[in-house]
Amino acid sequence: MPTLRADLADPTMLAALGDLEIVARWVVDGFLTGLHRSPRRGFSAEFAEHRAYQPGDDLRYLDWRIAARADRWVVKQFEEETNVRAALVVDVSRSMHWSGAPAPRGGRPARITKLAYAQRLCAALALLLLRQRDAVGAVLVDDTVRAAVPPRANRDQWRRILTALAVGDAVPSHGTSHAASGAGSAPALGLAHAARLVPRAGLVILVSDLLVDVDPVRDALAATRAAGHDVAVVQVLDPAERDFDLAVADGRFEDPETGQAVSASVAAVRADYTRAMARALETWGDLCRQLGVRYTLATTDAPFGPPLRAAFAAREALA
Amino acid sequence: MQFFAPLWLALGAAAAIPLLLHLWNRRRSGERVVFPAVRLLAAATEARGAAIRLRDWILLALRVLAVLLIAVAAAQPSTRAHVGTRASSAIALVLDNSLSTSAVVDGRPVLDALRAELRAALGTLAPGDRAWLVTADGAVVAGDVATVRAALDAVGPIAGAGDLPGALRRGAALAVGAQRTRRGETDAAAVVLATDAQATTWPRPVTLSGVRVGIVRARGDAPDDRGVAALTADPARWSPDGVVLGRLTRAGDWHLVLHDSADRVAADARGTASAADSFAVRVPLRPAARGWLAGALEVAPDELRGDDARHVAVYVGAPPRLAAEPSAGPFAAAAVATLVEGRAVSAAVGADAPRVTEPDALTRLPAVIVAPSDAARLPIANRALDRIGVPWRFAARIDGPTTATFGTGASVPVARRWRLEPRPGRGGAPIDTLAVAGGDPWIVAGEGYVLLASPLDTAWTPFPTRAAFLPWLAASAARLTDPAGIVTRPQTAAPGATVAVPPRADVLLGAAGPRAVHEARVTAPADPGVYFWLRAGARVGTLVVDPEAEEVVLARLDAKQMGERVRAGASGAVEVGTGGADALAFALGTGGRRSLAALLAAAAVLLLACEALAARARASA
Repeated sequence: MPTLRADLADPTMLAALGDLEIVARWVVDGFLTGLHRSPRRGFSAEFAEHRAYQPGDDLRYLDWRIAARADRWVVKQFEEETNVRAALVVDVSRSMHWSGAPAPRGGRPARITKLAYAQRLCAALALLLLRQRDAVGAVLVDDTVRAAVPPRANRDQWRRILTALAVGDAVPSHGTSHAASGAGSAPALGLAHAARLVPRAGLVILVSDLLVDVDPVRDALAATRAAGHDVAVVQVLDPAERDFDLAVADGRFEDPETGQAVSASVAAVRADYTRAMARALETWGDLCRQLGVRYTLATTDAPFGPPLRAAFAAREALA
Repeated sequence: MQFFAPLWLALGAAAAIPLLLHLWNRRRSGERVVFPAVRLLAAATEARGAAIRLRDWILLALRVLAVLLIAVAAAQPSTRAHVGTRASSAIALVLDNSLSTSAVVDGRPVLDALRAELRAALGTLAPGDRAWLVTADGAVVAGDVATVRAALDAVGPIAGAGDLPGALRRGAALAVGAQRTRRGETDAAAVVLATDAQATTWPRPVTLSGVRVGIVRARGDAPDDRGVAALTADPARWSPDGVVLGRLTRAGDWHLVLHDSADRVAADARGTASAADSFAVRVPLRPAARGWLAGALEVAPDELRGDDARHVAVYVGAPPRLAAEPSAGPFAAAAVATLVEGRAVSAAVGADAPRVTEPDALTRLPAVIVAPSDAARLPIANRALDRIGVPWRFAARIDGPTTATFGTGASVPVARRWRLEPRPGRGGAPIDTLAVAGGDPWIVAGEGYVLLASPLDTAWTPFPTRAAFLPWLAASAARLTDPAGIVTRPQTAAPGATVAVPPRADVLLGAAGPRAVHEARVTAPADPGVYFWLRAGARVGTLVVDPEAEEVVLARLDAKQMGERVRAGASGAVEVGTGGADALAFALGTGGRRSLAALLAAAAVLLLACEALAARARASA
């Protein structure tokens, strides 16, 4: 991506151009370009090595002597000392497999699924944190914990996280039996698991559509906060869920997780629905505010930059 | 409630369309759509669900009701509307008792149903009302309610069409003529016509002024009838044989039987005919056969019995002969040649053959004698007539246009003529005056002669150039060939029609027995069949009585067409319905039928407007 700021590009277009790893790298690179400074700085005073200067690196770490002597710009790197442990909690339930504008037969999808969006966002976020020398782990959860990667800061950690994120693709999608495992959505389980994976105060980031009951999640968020963790919540929705703008005029709408069905005409209930959605979003926003949790709403047609920036701001707050 | 176009009620089936669409939409709304945020959707629809379902049902009811109203409005419903009380009135009840009303529909003769409606109308008459019953055969009964009801019960169907328009005009004239004015108020004049609306009865509209007419049209449609539509002998005189031409109203089997003068079966044939196509039955006879044949063609009985048979009569005899002398002029020669070529007569051969001639060339009888044109030849002509025994003489010439009238009703102009005077002392032999001009005999006939008082010259009369000339000449040839005074061409008439009596016929003989005849025109018998005119006990002609061919074509006018056939003139009104009491109420002006079509159409429009508003509200909800 020579000229395109991937963090500001259309997610669907990015997904068409590259796989999870490539897109995550593009997004992080674009994001860092936007910051105009390198986030890579540690708190340790133990010098480790030099490396070439990159735009955005803090000029405080520029080795002026080498610059004066060899006319080569290098920055001093210090021995890693992890200062933040972060855990990404990713909702991979059936509802996350949905897109309001799925791919027509043989064609390209008009919009990626919420899960695809969450995967790319988390991959980018993990890469960003790892470059920050933070320890990053991941928990994939639907009605149970599907995969868990303990936080590490080493070089292979991102690969492990990418592998774990791919587990989400294997979760049963729509049309399978609701009694099967993976049918439900229990972000509270993921939060509790992540809290256990991060033994001391750290950062827990939940990425979910939050189409679940409020109470268990509120309790889990409160417990996580009580354990000393900072928490950020990124609620991922499809624009069609927000605006109830569907290709059908009416139909029998069925929840892929619970099987609950409602017959309705889109035009007839759109206003009521959007009001109910606004109330739900407001509920989640208020809840997070009360618990000291950073809350961000991301729609799958919006660039990765804003939610990435919001999540990274939570990490910055810990610095 | 009554419907003028009940077939439109079938449109009501379209009410199923909104119902089916509703069900279709419900099925369509059942299509599965995966949607993760159903919990929010359920919360959104929960409050409105009941209201939306109620609105849907209201919409459905509005649509179904609107379609039903449109269907009913299209059927042109009407209801009876009563307006107060009334004064005494003059009421004519006109009953169609023509042959077609004897048809059985739904197990009951149409006439009985019409009679019942008029009886219902009679039941609503006030004590001071005056009533008449007029039937299609021209009969009139006047009196109080009881008298008219008794007459009504006694009415039976006639064997022909009758004259229903005439009966209607007569009933209207009776009602209007009997109106009385008391204390400044004139009685109502009302006519109630009960008819099966036979289409052929009303070839042209009848306009009635000053009277309100309520028409009771028989319910339902005419039955599918099979009858004999036509039956004739061809030629009209057989020498010695010919064919019988028949036609049925529908395809079917027929049976033809002819009897001779001795009541022996002369022909008996059966066959099957297709609809509307004429068929011919050749009847071979003995070469020496002479006299009258009479019979009938029959089909199997059905709903209308009156047209199951039709009759025919034909005279079998030697062909008439005729020749034209040069003295009779070119018209006579040309006419005889035409008749011979058309095989209406055969060329005269032999000394006793009749010929057309002027008197001065006359040597013997039989002959058709035409007057000379030259006054100088008149004495010679008169001497010739006297010599051969013709009891007439040509007298003074009469100039000036006049019209000669034949016994058949035909007429021709006459510019000049000789006055025909009977020769004194020659009485005794019967004389027939065939045509009269200016009050004088113009054509006379006796034993062996037919005498014309003008020459066949267009300066005297255009008769030789008229269409009636050839038939007259052929009839004259037959008259001179056949036994004295016989009329070989059968007369045909509908039952009850007026017919001309052949010269000097004194008896009409039918199956019911002889009937003496004293007048030149008599009423034909009411029963179909073959009748014989007798003169001094000898058969001199036939009368075939059958219903009119158009009367057996059972096609009915609908209410609208019927209303167009009977028109209201000044201060009159006409309405067509199916109920006798309603018709009388309309005719009296105390009630009538009020159309509900506009009201129902307006209601349907209102419902559709409500539906549009409800649909818009539902869509925007």
